[in-house]
Amino acid sequence: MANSNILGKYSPYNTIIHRLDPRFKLFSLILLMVVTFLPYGNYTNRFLVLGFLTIIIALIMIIGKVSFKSFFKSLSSMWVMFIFLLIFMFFLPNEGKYLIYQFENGYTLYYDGLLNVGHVILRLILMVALTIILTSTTLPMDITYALEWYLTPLRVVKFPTQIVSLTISLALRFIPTLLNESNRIMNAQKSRGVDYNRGFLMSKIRSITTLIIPLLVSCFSRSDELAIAMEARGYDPYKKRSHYKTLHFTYRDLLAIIFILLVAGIMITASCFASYVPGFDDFLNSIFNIPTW
Amino acid sequence: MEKIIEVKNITFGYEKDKKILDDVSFYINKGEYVTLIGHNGSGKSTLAKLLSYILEPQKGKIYIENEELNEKTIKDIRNKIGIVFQNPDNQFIGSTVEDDIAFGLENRNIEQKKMKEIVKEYSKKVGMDKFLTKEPEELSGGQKQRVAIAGILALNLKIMIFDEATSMLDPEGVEEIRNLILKMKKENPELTVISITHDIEEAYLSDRVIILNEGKVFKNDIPSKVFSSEEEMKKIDLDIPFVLKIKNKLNEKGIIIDENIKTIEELAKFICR
Repeated sequence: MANSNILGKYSPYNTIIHRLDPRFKLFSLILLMVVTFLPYGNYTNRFLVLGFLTIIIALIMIIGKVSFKSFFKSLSSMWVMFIFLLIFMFFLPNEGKYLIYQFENGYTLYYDGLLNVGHVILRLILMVALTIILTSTTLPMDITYALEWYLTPLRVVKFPTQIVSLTISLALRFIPTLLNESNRIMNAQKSRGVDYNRGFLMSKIRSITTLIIPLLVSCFSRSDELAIAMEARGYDPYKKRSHYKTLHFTYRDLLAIIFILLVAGIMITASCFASYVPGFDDFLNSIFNIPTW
Repeated sequence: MEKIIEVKNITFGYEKDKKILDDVSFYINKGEYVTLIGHNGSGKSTLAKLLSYILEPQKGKIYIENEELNEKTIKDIRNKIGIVFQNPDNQFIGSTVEDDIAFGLENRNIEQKKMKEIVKEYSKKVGMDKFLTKEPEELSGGQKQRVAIAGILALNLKIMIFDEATSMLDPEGVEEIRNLILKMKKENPELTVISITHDIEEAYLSDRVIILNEGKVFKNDIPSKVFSSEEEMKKIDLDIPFVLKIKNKLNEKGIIIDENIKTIEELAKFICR
C-alpha cells in the first residue's frame, strides 16, 4: 500500500493537533496556504516572512508528531518539478538586477533567478508540509465531516450535501480495497506472463490495459453490490438521516484559532506593508541589519 | 404456527425459455431457522434475489407477513428484512466498524446518544466490541461478516436472510458465522432466519432444510429426514453432513449414536465417553 502515501497517511497518535476539530484544521490549512502565496516585496523580505512561517509550520509538525521521513519522501517525488523550475527561472535567459556572470556570447546568469527558484520551491515545500500535517493528524472521515459542514450553507440552494459527503466517504473507504484488488490482478496477470516493468511506451500501455479492464469490471460489480447493500439497510438519499458522529468545538480549538489567525495576521500585515508602503522593505531590513536584495 | 414468509408459485428465468425457478412454493414460519441449499445453478441465488426484491418474479407472488412484495411495499418491508450478502467487502459501508454498524441506524434517523448505546450493545453481541475503531482492511472476512450481522441485528428486524454469507470465508470464518447464527437464535427465538448456503453442515444444524434442484423444490423437511438417504443426495450432486456420515458408518457397525448430536465436538465427546 505504499502508493497511498503520496500525501501522507494518518498516523494514529493522540497529540493536541490530532484532537483539534477537523473543521478548524481544514480552515487553517487553506488560510495558511493562501498566506504563503501573498506577495512580500523584495527577496530579503520574502525569505524573512516565509522563514517565520517555516518555523511555525515546523513547530506544528513536531507537536503533531508528523513523520519527517514521509514528508521528505513526498518531497522527493517533486524533484523533477524543482529541476524544471531551475531551468526555466535560472538557466533560460532572464532579467535581473544582480549579475552572477556574463558569457561572451551575451548569455547571462542572475542571482535573481536563483532567489526566485528558491522562493517558489520554499512555497511549494510549505504547501506540502501543510497538507501532510492535515492528513497525518486527521482521519479521512473527519475531513469528510468537515467538508460536509462547510457545504451546509449550500443546502439553501438545494445542493445535496449529504449525498456528496457520503460519496466522498465511500470513495475514501474503497481506496485501500481497490488498491489491494489491483495488486491481486497485477499478480494474477504477471503469473500469466504480463510484464509491467519492462518495454517501451506502447507495450507498457498494452500491459496496463490488462490491469485496467478487470479493475473497472470489478469496480462496477462492487458498486452495484454496494448500492444493493445500502438500499437493503434502508438508505434513502432524500430522507433525513441522523449522524453517528458529530464534531465538537472546544476551548482548545478556540486557542488554536487565535494562534493561527495571529500568524496569518502577521503575514498579511507584512504583505500589505510590503506592497503598499514604499520604503518598508528597507525599514524592515535595517531593523534586522540584513543587506537588501 | 404463524407464517411469516410465503412464496407462491414463483417462476423466473433470465432467458425466455430457460426457467431458473419453475413454480416454486414454500412457506416459512415465524421464528424458524430455515436453510436453502442446492448445487450451483439450482436457482438458490436467484431465489435470494427475489426474496430481497433485487429481481422481480415473472409469475407468482411473495408475501411477507401477509403483505405482497412489490414496488410499493418494498420500503415498508425493508424494515422487516435484513440481508447479509456474500461479499464481506462490498457491504461494508462505513469507514470503521462502528460507523458501519451505525449506518442502518442513521438511515432510520435515530438520535446520536441512543445510537452509541445500540452500537455498543450489538458489537458486543457479535464479539466485535474491541474492534470498534478498526477499518475494514484490518479485519478478516469473518469479522467483516460479523459486523454486517451486527448492523442488521441493531435494527431489530424480524427476518434475517443470509445470502451465501459464508461462501467467501475461510473455514474458521464459516465456523464463526455458523455459531453466531445459532447464538442469535438462542437469544431471540422470535427471529426468523433464512440462510441460503453451500454449507451442508450449517443446514444440518437448522430447523428445516429446503433443497432446490433444477428450479424446483426437491425436498422440504427437517434435516434428519432430508439427509436420510446418501444416495438420493448424491444424485443431485449434494453430499450429506460429515457428522451424519460418521453416525451412519457407526450405525452399520452396531453402535447407536444419539439423534440430537449434530456437531463434530458433540460427537467426539459422545464417543470418548
